[in-house]
Amino acid sequence: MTPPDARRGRRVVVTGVGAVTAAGIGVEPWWRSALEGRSHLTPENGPIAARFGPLSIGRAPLPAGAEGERAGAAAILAAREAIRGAGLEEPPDAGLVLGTCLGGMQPALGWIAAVAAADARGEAAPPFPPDAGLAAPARRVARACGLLGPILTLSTACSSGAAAIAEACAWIRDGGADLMLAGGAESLTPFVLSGFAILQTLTPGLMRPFDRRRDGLALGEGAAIVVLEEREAARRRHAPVLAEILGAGTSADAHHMTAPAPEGEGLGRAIDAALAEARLDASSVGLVNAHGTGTVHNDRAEAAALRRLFRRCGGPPINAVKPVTGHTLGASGALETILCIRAIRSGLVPPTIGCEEPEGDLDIVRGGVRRGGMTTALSLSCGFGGHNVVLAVGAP
Amino acid sequence: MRFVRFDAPPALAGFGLVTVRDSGSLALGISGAILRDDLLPPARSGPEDAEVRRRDRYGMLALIAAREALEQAGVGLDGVAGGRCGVIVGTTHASAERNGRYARDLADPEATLSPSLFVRTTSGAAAADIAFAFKMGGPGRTFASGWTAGAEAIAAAARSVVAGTADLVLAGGVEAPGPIFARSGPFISEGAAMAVVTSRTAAGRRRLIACGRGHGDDPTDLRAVADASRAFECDTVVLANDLEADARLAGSGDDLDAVFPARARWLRVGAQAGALGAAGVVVGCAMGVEIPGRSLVVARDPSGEVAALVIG
Repeated sequence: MTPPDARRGRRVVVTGVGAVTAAGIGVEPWWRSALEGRSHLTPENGPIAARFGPLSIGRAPLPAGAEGERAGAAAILAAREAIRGAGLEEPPDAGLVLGTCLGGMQPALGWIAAVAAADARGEAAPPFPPDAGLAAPARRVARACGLLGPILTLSTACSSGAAAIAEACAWIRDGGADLMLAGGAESLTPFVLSGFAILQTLTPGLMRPFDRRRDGLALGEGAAIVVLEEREAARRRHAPVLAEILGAGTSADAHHMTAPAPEGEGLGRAIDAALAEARLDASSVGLVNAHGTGTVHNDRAEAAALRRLFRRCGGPPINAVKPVTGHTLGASGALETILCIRAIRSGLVPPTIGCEEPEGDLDIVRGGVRRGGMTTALSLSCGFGGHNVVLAVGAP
Repeated sequence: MRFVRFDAPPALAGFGLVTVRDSGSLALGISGAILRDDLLPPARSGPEDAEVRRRDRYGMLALIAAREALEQAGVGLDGVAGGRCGVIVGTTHASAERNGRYARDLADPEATLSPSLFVRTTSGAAAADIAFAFKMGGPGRTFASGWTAGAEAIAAAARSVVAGTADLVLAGGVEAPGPIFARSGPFISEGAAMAVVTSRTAAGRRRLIACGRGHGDDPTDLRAVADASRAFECDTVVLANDLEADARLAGSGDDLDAVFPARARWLRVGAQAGALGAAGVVVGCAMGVEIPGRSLVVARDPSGEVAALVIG
């Protein structure tokens, strides 16, 4: 293993990206929608809305050929796009770290009901479905794409996608792998929708991150995958290097299962750790992509952490893009890492939909695209249980 | 199969283990009440929240094993503080029994759904419980990769410590499948195994020398595991699952002596799925007391994924 002081010798770059969201199949429709400030949330008129009240969702338009459990199906499409974009031959000699909150659980719950019915009839229980369980989406991706490396599933609730990227980076940095796919996937099920409804976190209207009128989030589904490579290996094969993952920081709030620490202390520790690993100081951060769920608790805690961080240097522009597709839970951290990559490459920062009357003095990007020459960005993710993950992304 | 060898191997400083004595007796495993109110954090959402936590064996087993590990490591519970201490958990089905309970309530239009129960359905609940109970604000995450997850958690803890992002990480595996999920495949009982992985030096403690990960359904990878036991000069081998099938895959019939030469072997430490690899580490360290030297711990998922740890 590489000694700690020499670890900087192994740097991690992003060579491919892929996404499936309510905006469509692929990164491009989602990025265009983000730039245009266009939301793909639609009213949900099913039994969940009838039981728990009005809500909007961002349902991913999976094509007819995408079969089986939806988180896995979306992840396969995103992985294929990322692999193609990276110019990799198939099957790639790569592992996968996939983050998810509850992807793969719906078939497992169906199996529970089937077992109960079989028991009642005195019949043999049906076998556990192959696409069921938390590890199933990652294994489906591995089979579909012929991945030859280790296959891992990570779960840190809504920061799972970012945690997966952080984990894969650690594998590459310490020599455990040269090439990894990483990201997240989530499906919208009655289980998930009802749970967020009874937690009273869903807005009946518009998502408004950092707006003084914010009253909750909308849920979305989809997947986002990046291809991560050891930098020199990527250069040797003339891979398209899109960005570098400069650092990652993770922390636990140790505070509450659903509410963040009110002053964002845990998130602050993750930010500090990411900046330290990236060897950046706050003044060199060009963009902050906030978790920005539009819930009162999240936005206040996140704003508090960012104010502490930037009080000496004014602070960079901050945006939140969950209103475009809804909060994609386990996929969101990876999706928004891709946003940082695209922002750095294009010099364009998508606006924060719904933020018209910002609370506080942070520089929230709103109204339209902001143009800037940023070379670094932080992507913030916070999950139930106080799981915070921050990724520092830089120009290659 | 690829091994990473740590130049500054972190210490394995304390262990917690919760198992059923007879892993073939599901009734014993499920009915044995574990009600440790003293381990529960104060309820923040009222009595209903406390009751939901008390009935959640996934979180409770994790807390019991965590406390034992911290106590054995000689780390006073009040002394474990701040952002330099993390929690990494591995599991297969996590709180699946809680998921089933919530799903049944959801299917009943007359039922009142419990927000506390819903938040317990996320697999990160056990790590969050431990972080909250022992005020561990450093790196925290949960591997849900199947039967290799406990070993992955300990390997990830070692990575964090070696990389300097944490001084101490409580890591291991937890499984609480309930009576339904115990039937989801090869028999699964409940259990938890946690270890304290730390950069702090202490005499007499075992250390994590290396970790490896690969596909076990590739015979060359299984051979690589066996080769590792020779390359790392392991005196003992812990095959956390029943690896007779693996031995056959490796092309040596059932002759484990030929595949995994060692002074002692421990086969099949239990059937705790995601807790297997971590339980294997506990067994390996215990064997190290009698037979000094290195141990190779191997956990294999029925899908073919393999995780291996070298301790010494």
